[in-house]
Amino acid sequence: MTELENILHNIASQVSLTEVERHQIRGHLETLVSADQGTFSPVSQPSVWLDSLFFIRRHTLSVAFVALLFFTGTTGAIADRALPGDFLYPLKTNVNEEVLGWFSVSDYDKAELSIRIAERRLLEAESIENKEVDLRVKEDHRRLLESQVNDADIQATRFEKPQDVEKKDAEASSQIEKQSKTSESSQTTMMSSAPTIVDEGGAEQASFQNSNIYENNVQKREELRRIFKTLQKKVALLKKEKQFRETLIPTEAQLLKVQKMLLDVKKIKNDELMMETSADLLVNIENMLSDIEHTLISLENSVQGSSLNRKEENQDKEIPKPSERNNKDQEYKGDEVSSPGVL
Amino acid sequence: MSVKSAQKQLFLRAYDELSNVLFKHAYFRVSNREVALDMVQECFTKTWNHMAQGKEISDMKSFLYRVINNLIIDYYRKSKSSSLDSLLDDGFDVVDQSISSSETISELSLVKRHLNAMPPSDKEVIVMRHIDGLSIQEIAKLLDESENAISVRLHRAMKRLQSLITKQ
Repeated sequence: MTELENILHNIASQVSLTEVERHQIRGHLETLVSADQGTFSPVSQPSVWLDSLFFIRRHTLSVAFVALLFFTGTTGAIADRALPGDFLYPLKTNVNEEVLGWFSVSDYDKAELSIRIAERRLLEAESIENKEVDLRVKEDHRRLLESQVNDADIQATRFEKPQDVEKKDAEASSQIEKQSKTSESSQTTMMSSAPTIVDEGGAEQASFQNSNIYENNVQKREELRRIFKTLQKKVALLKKEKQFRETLIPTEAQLLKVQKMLLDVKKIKNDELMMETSADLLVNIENMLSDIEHTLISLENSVQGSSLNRKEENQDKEIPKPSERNNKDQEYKGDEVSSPGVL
Repeated sequence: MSVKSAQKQLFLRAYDELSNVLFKHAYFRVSNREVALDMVQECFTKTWNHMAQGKEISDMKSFLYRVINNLIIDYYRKSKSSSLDSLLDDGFDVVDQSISSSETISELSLVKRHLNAMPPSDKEVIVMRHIDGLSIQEIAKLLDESENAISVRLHRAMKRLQSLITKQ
């Protein structure tokens, strides 16, 4: 039987496409490919990658090792800067991030990782927003973003204290009340500023009012964005205190949601119908930021006579401690923009 | 890189990597070089048209194999070629393609002839395993059968081929 197999192999090796034949066919295919105006499925990233993924699943351990080496090497590093639609993007999401997952063991590590990954998605979303990226790619990325933000949120609930959960429920229901009130009031403003079509002069006035509202929204959005950034920096600062790390997880997840909502608001353009949604979102964001700030203040206050207090005092005096001067300069600049406790 | 050009890259790369294997496969199934060449071109053309309709292809290799297998089946149905015709083709082809090997040309052409005379189902597995070099797992996946079934089929086919040769 082996002899027969050998013969068959020999036979096989004797037959091959000649270079001429190969090029001839390729030529025909190239013409076909250039001419074609078809619609393409962007999601199927080069299936070579999908083949690679199957390979990865089959040889997990060795791939993990190689992936780890890669991670410190060029390809992995380059992949980490990839955006949706890029050739190396799957490497970023399916390999690099997977690898990180293998090394997060504790609940805290896992939650942290999920937050960092969701943050990445949000940064990517911001980057590709105005880029020439295929709609399908954007949609898929959006779906991934939503699920990862949600995942981070779920992971964060493990770190919520029972009283916080109750507080959350209470806040959620009051928010719904606020929302309905706001939407009612915004509806009345809308109605007063957007009279029936019959009134031609009024229609002009309406669009003027709407563009005003739009401008207000944009301003509000920018303001909230600044506040968001400030709070983000605060959280980063507080996290340096080991005792706060776990407590801050839910707050970080909240910030994630705020960031996502800010992105959503940005997407809502000057569209009359969407004006309400935009306004509601802004109110929501404002409330969330307010809550986050209260949480952070209470954390800061709970620390008595610790280095944190000293830092805050120094901030007020604007004299950073010599040892911290280099590190803290950046943060101080940021904090100067809006003083804490004032929204 | 636009979506279309990414797909184009993928497609041409698939051609570069897999055209030879697919050609061999087709050739040993239909024993006619011209037909095999046409099949390869047709196979890739159909695949591109599929991609151009926005349909996803999760496994390029499997997809291409399936397409070419279908073309081969169609060919069988249409073709009235007797085993005699294909024997003639064989003879010519071996002479054209011959490279130095330890076996004599006649030995190779003998095996080729007998392979050709085998029923399609036997030929299919033998070609896929020993000409194309696919694993049992891959063949099972492509033909949508269990690995065990393929194993058995292959074993029996090889035995039949062996007996045909030794009878000579």
